[in-house]
Amino acid sequence: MNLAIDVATLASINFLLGLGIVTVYKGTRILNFALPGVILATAYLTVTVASHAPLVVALAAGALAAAALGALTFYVGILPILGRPTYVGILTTVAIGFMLESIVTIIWKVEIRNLNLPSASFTLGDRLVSSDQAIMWMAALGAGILFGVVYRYTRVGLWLAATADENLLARQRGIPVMMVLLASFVIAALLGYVVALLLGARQGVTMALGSAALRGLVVALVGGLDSVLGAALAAVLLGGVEAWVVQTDPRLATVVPYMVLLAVLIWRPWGLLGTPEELERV
Amino acid sequence: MAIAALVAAAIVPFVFDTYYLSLLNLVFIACIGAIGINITTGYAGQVNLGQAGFLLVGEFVAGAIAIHIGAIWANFWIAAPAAMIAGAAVGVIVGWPALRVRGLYVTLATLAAFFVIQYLGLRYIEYLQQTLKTGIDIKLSALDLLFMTVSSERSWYYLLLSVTVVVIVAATGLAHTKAGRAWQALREHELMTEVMGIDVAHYKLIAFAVGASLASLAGMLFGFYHHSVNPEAFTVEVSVQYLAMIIIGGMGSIAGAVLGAAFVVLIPYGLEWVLDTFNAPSQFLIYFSAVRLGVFAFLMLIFLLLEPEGLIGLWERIRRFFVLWPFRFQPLEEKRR
Amino acid sequence: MTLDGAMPTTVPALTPDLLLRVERLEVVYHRVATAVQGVSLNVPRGKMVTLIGPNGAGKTTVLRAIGGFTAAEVATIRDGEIAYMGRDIRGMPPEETVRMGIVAVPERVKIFDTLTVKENLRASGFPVEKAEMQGVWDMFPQLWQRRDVRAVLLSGGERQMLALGAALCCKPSLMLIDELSLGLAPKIATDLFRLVRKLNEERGIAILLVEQNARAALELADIGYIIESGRIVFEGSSEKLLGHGDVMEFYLGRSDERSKSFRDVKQYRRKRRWWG
Repeated sequence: MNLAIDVATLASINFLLGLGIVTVYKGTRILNFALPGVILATAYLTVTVASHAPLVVALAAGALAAAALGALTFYVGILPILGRPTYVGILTTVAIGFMLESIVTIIWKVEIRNLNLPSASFTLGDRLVSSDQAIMWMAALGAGILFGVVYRYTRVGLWLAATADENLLARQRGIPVMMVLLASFVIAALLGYVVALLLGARQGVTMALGSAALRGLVVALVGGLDSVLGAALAAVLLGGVEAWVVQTDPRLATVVPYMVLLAVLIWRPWGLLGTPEELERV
Repeated sequence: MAIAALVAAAIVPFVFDTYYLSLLNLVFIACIGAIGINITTGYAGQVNLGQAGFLLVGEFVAGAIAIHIGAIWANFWIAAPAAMIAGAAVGVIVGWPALRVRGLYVTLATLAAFFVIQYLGLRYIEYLQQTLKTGIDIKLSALDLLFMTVSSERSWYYLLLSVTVVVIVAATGLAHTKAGRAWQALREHELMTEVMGIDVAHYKLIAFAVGASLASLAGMLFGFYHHSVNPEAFTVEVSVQYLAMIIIGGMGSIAGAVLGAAFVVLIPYGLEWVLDTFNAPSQFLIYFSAVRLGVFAFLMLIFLLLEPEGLIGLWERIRRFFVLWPFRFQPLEEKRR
Repeated sequence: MTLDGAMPTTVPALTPDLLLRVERLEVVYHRVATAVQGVSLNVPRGKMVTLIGPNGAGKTTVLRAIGGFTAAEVATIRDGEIAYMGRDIRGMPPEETVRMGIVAVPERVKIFDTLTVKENLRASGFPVEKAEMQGVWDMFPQLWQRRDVRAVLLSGGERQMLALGAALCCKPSLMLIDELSLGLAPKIATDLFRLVRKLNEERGIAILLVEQNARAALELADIGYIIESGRIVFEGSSEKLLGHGDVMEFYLGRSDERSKSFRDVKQYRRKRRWWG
């Protein structure tokens, strides 16, 4: 039971992070390396505002900042290089991510801050479960179902797929491509913000949030990049492995996702549930 | 021209004091690593976010030779080939997933490999500290060159200068071989290259092996230069710095890599001076590494967006402007020639 | 010049039956390479117009300028006017021109390879009604059979059908078709040409067709323009063009007189250009 709860929590974090990456990938075929920076910046901002103003204001400010940073990533890093090779997009998002990280370090001085969300706890089996853990599970489940449905059954999902396939043709068909892309970056940043809040409440807001956020990339790749279900599967798999390893060697546990990634890239490069053709397109 | 440059380079240690020499030495080490990543990323187009891992391999080779085998063997003629072979081997292992994947997958694979190497490195250090009782600081002996020991800043200058020149010449030569052309082809269009009958997998592995072996060589020299093995110095930030070098200098150009390395190594010193003169708030100096990272990231972004050909491209444009002035374009006759 | 020898009026009176009017269009690539220099053409409401000419003459560039996707390429419109239904649409981005009814069927049959046939029809900024989809299925029964197949697996002819079908789902009043017959078997190309004409006649969709197959295009269209090196060199109704000796000579590859040497042709062309 204990293990199951840990796995569920880790998997929820992994999944929300992975979903953010998948969302951006679906529209742009670019991995958003700026997400860790966005998560750090918004988490610290929320903590700072929360110490001066009511929590609701802080949460609203954080969400706004997340949306703004997501939009910034798109306008600065992606829009000017549309049509250039993919690796340029990777590098611009890397640069934006590290710029944010650097700014966060300078402003907040690598401090550990506490984020106090109102919390309650209840028992599940023989273990005490805090409400933020439960919220995390719900968030992951809700987001998973919502995104799965949107991608599969709505026009927006089709728009995303079309935009990623042939940007110009999508514009010729009257698809509001710029809106779709902008929205995907903003939504990814907001998903990241949810993770930032929940992780920050659990283990304090530190620079380690940034490296935790890198896990989203691993989840997305192991799952198969364009598959929501794959990301869910990968999140559970990685969460399980991590929860298991952490009992014997906590430091190995932070590396183990990367080992899984390397193994998957060699064994099944298109990911657990991805399509093999996806390999040809990046 | 080349001879004049060499003579000038030989005189340098007698003109500058040790502080400037140490800066130059750091530039040389960075040059070697930058030329390495220029081959993997600049030529072959495999974006490598794990350069720090390859550097780390070299440093561990230095450590392993000096500590396990003994200080007498801390000899350049042994350490250099050993570091290069170890680097190439690790490069091939890291490049292995790249055989089946491309683009972003490769980037993530190199990043993942970096984290794994870093973990193994930290475990190794722990083993040294606890089992071999080396203490927290792992000291390396001075590098031996058979006929002399490299210890003074000046002797390091000559050693690093010669190694850098050899690496530049070798890399320039390599770029004009079959492999060099294959790399550039596969950077432009991988599928097309494969269709042309070029063994993409083979050349990708070579690119990773060569790039990693040069990085490892740089790491080895770095270790001996600082007399220590310190894996904590090699973070993701270092990988970003190396990427920044070739982006700022100019991707796929050896002159660009050299220029970029010098730029990236020297800019923090300029930055420090600026912060000092303008009395920047104290946290800018306390978290200087963060400031540095931010500046590199910013420059990277600017060059990617505005001058994709880097400093070399910029230089070419300025030169052409003055050569052709008052015209804007090269006359057709000249182009044909 | 027109074939009657009369100079066309520089600004044709804006008549209600004129759908698209392009005046003195100049398009430049990479800021230096002029691809189109002063092209004027008209597409009357409900008519089929064809723009023909040799490789690199600027046909596709004209279409791109009208559809508004020069910005996405490296081209800029340096001069001229483009008016559609009396509104200036010069420089308007493609997502807006398509809302006004200008729908492009791009060159080399671009479709969304990763989507299925059905999804390709639905992937547009407009809600696609069932009846419209049914119309496409009726028109191309072959596509209906392959409706759930990924588009990348279609044959060349099927791709072109899908491209046409998807364009129809965007409610066009003017279709810009680029190289309809490129890379298709002659039989399929003929069928598609006929189909396009049928669309034009039955639904009143005006068509601007860019073609390499000059004869087929002229035989179908109402009006033809011949473009060379970025300039319109002949224009007129297609019967006139088909009956004209020079056009036959240069673009349709048939001569009634004794076969001339290339040198003669070149000199003749130069003369024409000089006087024209």
